[in-house]
Amino acid sequence: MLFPTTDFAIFFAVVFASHWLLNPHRRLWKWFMLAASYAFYAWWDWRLVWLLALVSALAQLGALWVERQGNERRRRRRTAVAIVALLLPLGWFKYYGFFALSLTNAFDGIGLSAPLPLLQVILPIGISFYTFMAISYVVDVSRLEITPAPWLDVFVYLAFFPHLVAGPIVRGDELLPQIRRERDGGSIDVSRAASLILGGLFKKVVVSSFLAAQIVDPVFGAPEAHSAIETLFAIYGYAIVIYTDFSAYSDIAIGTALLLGFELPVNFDRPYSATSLRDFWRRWHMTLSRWLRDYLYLPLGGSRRGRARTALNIMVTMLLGGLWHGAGWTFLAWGGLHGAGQVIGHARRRRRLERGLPAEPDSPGRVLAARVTTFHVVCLGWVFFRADSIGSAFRVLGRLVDGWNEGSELVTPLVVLAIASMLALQNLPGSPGVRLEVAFSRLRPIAQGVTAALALFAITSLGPSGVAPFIYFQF
Amino acid sequence: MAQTLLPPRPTLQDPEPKAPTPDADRRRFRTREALVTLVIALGVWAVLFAPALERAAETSPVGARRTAALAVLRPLSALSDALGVRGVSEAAMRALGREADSPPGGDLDLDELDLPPLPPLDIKPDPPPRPPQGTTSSPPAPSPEGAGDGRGASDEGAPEPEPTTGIRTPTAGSKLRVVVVGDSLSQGLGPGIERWLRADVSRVLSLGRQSTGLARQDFFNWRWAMRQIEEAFRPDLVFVLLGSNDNQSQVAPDGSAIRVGSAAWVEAYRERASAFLREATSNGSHVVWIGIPVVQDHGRWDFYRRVNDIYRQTAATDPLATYLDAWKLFQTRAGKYSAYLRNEQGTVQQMRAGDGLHLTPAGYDYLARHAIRAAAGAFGLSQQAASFRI
Repeated sequence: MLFPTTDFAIFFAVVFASHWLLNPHRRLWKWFMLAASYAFYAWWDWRLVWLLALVSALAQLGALWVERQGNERRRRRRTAVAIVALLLPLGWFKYYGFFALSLTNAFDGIGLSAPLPLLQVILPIGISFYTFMAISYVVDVSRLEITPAPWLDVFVYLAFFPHLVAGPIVRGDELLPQIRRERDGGSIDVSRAASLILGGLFKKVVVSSFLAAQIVDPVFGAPEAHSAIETLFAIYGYAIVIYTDFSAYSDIAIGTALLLGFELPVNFDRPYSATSLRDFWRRWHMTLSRWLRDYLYLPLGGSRRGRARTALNIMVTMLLGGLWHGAGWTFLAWGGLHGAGQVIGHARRRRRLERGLPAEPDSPGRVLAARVTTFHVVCLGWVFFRADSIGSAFRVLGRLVDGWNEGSELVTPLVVLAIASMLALQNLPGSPGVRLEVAFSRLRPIAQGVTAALALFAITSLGPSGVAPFIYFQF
Repeated sequence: MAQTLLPPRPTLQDPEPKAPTPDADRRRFRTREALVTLVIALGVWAVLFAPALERAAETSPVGARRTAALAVLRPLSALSDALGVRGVSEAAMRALGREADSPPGGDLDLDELDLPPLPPLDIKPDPPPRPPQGTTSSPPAPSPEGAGDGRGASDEGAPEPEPTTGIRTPTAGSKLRVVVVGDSLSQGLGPGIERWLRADVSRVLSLGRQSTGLARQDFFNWRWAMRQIEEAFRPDLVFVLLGSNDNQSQVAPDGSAIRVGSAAWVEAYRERASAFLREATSNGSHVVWIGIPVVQDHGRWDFYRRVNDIYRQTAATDPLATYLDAWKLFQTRAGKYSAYLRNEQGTVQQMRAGDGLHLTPAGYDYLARHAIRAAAGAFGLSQQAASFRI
């Protein structure tokens, strides 16, 4: 079920009313929320609901098994087994096809037949997200940061529909206590929720759809047919499309959760105002960044084992982070670029500190230069992220070398305005939206409803007749 | 407040995701107030948007869901009328750049495209004579490994198809005008065609529309759209790929449903296909009508093969049209569906998307090259127009 649809609006209205009715009856509420979340998931493909249940069961069995072991070393071993068990479905559904295809062509090259059959495996929506949440739950139990929750709570934790298919990646100690306790029905932050939901709808339905159709898809689909200036704006456009698309999902997820009295972690914080790649990863898909940091980078040794090992740990983390997004060389290239960029950034930062210079930009001019540089490195990465093959990515980049004398038909004033305004919004000081939210919160419920309806009407009128699925669904 | 329930996180290296700053001035609601806000928001929006929602529901597939949606939306739409909201909302929609009475499938918006001036009519070739065996283009034989193989199309020594017409040889000053139309499959094909035709001698418009077809002209009317395209762009070459959404009842102009599977449905569909093709070739444009590729779901095979037959027969009636059998092109040697096929170089690629219907970018590229070859075989499209060896 897509967020920006009437199906979801009806679903949510029913869930909202039932949720608050059942809120005091926790056990009943949990069964209801589990059923609602599974129905939400089954809307795409009911045949894959079992997988969500399987991952939930594996996570709980793993957590209970790990918790029973008092010896730390043995507990770690058990944790590793549980993680492998959780990664098996992900490996099969997400990576088997890529692995078998690469093997087939490699064997073909030396005249042998491949040992693995080529199978088309359906990629279940959201599998990467709920698998990562399941792993974090088991590891947190293993680290004695949390104790295993009741079975029903764990199933609700992993399936809770606002975050189910595209995050945020919520940790057990953030959501499980909220599932356990009755939600506070006397203090719903409707203005914040409305701001997140309407803002998210605007970003997805209007901005992302417009830029994708107007310039990004045509240029990335056939780069040879487009000029250098169109290619440049298509790359900038894609930076906005992926941000507006993914952050819209997170915003709507957080907003709907807020209306149900749940607090989910923020996932984006103006990523294109970052002054370095390190800074970018503190602002982009923040819940994945912290997952990679806490469950991969730090267990690898983080920055505690010398420079070379730190660089290796960063590269491994970013390459695996790239692969998490999809099985393909383009995602590896994207992760590798971000890894290499961060390794260089770390070295540069260290040198500056050794010389007694400030590690971060310390003047408006340097901040601006750092932002512009970081944005363009990020854009370079997006080319690989968006392209369907490494060859396609280089064809897109190749258009930036020549073709400057050709036309710029796709670079319309509206395209430039959409890109420029979204970038400007991220670089504005302060939070002008908060004042608006406070003013909105002062309105009476009926006035709030009418205002929200007018905004919704404007968004649905401005958007195209059909809305494409969110980009991050495929991950 | 929920936020206070969150335990503090250990500080390791990076800052934690920040929760929104609590603001003392911000007013929060009780459940009942929040419910009122939600109901008012959805209710008022539904009344404002009811006419558009009703049109969308009317053009959705005939069935229980459509009936239920209309049962809710018709009273809402009537309420919108009674309150005088319809006029206001339609004026607002126009102000926001959307025609209130446009079909739910949208308009083509050709005016927004920077189209080149129409060519003089005398550069159009004369309609070619019809070859005795028809101009259907068949895909090459599949590879011995069992995966489909496109190499046969460019095999050394294979008899070159006899060109039956002369699409003009394009130049930089007089580019080949190409249009790709159809449903979501054609939206994927468009960039492939654009990629494999040389950009310096061709202008490709990819005008495919998601969820469209020939069955529901009330949702999007491809015949009418084709007329607009002919008037505004007068293409040399049209690639058509549609039908994947057409397994549903057609709605006759009087609003009655023509049930899918009935003889009347087939006849009505055949007539729509013919009318569309007449429109497409009315100015001398050449048409490559591409059949639906084999799909994973066997339950759809019968229907898709039936409409493919209609497309093939329709194309055979017009000397300016040819048919490309994409069903066969994407089959294995054993006649089965496979997501993985060999391309012309013998490399195995994943050519089908996860839904078992659409293609991957590699699949669209493969189909685009074959569609261009079909145009070359049937209409003598010049090698100069293509960026690969036809």
